Amino acid sequence: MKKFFTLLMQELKIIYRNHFVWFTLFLLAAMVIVVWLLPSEIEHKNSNFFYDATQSKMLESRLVSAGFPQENIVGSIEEIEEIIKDDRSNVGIMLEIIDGEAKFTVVYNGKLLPQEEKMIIAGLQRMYDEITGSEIVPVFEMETIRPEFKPLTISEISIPFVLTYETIVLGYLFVAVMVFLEKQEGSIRVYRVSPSGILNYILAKSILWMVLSVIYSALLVILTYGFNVNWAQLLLLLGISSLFMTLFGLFVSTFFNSISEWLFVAIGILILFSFPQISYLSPSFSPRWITLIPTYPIIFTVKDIIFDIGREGAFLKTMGILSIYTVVAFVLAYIAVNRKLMREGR
Amino acid sequence: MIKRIFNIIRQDLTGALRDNMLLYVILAPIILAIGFRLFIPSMEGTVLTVAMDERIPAPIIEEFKTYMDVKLFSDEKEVRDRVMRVDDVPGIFLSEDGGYTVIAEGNEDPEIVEAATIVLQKIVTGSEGIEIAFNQLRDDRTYFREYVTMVLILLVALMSGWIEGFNIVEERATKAINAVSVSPTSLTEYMLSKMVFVMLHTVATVIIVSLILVGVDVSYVNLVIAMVFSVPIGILLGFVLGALTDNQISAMGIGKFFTPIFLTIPIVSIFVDKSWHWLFFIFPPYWMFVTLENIYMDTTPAAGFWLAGFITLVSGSILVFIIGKVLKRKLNLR
Repeated sequence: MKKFFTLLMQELKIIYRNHFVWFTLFLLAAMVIVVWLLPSEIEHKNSNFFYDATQSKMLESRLVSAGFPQENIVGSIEEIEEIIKDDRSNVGIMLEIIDGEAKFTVVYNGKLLPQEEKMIIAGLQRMYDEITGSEIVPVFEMETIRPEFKPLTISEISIPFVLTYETIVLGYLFVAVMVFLEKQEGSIRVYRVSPSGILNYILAKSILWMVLSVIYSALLVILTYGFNVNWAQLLLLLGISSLFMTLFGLFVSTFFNSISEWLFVAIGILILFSFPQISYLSPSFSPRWITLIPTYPIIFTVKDIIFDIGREGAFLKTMGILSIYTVVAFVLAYIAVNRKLMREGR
Repeated sequence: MIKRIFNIIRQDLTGALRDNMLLYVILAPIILAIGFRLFIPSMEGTVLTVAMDERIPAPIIEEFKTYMDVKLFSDEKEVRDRVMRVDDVPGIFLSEDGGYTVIAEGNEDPEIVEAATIVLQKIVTGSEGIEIAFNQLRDDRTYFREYVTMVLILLVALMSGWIEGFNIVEERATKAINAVSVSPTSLTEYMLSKMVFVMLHTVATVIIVSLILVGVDVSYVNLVIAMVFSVPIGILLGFVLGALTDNQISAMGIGKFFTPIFLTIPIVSIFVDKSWHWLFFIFPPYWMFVTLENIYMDTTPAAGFWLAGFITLVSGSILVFIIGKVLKRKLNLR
């Protein structure tokens, strides 16, 4: 235990001497300002454009009465085609009556999957039924489990995002830098012949960065959201997440000789870890492979805890998954440090 | 002067080859580009998912599969559990009275829940009757591929500068810089050599990345010109690290601070309405992004290729000139 604490103090001294505290405070201030400055919501541009070629203008009047933006209702099919050509994400819909039969034309970019095509047909059929006043008797009942759910503001949405991709990855990056510093200064060779052992080496580094990361995260939550969160759950989750990231960072760093070699690969891994951002911002996109990336359960569970979403069992499930990831990362880090880092330059 | 610049480039190249640094600098973005190339099709065509009770009549479930990705569950409770997961998946189960219940958690995109109800209604009532024609104008639906390419190019430029910064820090830490400071090499020559070295491998890498992601349908001459314009911006972080830090921990701290500024501002500009883009005008990375937009996008960027490129070059050069003053003092070069 004494050896562990000696190593821990030694690591702490190194990062203190290298102005780490000041950089982190600077980063914290920058992140807090960014979260504060974010607007509560961003107005989405409507990318659907309509042209009603019917004499009665039944589609147009229906759209206007439903509050559809006037600028998205255009006067000719040529105009629609111009708009669709101008921006790939736009979709144009024309309604005309030919020999007494209604005909929709959908103008779009990109290939439609068969399922998407059928969805559009179903949607337009419903729209036509509504504008012609056909009676729609629902064949189902609707149930919303939590109707009181309040949509989050953009700055609220950004808090789990910053915690997952800024504060938790602190150890992942800095533990590697410390390893390269030790290699450069030759202290790793000294350590090799000391009696402290590999376990203490790994624990001192990972616990130090876990604690610093948790402090950084907690300050960020307090300054951007306040005190009203389940701190026990949040700190446990942030703690195990940063422990996993630090151990994984230590494992990765052992395969490289210098920071220059390591940097691109490390950033590449971070980009892979950032894919769950897409699911976070667009939850309907959740292919199986994205859900296996460790940051996927982290970002969603951080969100659940901070905003008290109360998804039953989600916290324990995520802690279970992260515990497995952490044990695997520890074993990998131990093997890599033992077989590679401590034997280099012999 | 030219000879001295080439000597330093040769030294950097030797070091980069010996440390495998060049291999990683070029290979890592290429692997990322290949990964994105494989990933992008799954982003462009997304099929919605619905959780269904397997007691629902088989023909209805089968028909649903032609609209959505259907996940089957044995009873109401399992459907509820699936709906309560973090993603946006509505559910449909058979109630005790034999009727259908569409269930949502409450925080889903309303359009996704509505889509499930429309499909269920259509399948059960079998409503048909209108003719629908599809008119596809172009092959690509989104600008995702182009934006990914541009962001990867920014990343290559930034990382190359970052690595150069670490090299300068290492040269200072190992006192290797002393050998340069007692040679006739001036600061200008030293900085120019670093810039040329970064430009050479950056241009090579971004051309391969671009070929992988968008193919040959863009102007590669303009891409090379854009990268030449962007060299000062790319290397700036390297010089900042070299000037302001004397060890790798500090360098990582400063690099970590600058990276979001470099990457986030252009990315945020994608989502901000053009009328607000003046807010970004003071940030040189924004102009680098606009220069790239002229190459990859068919929309109208904030400025033309040459104007945006010129602003990128001038703003980057001014900042490099300013940081050069600090670097001169720190490196003790003439």
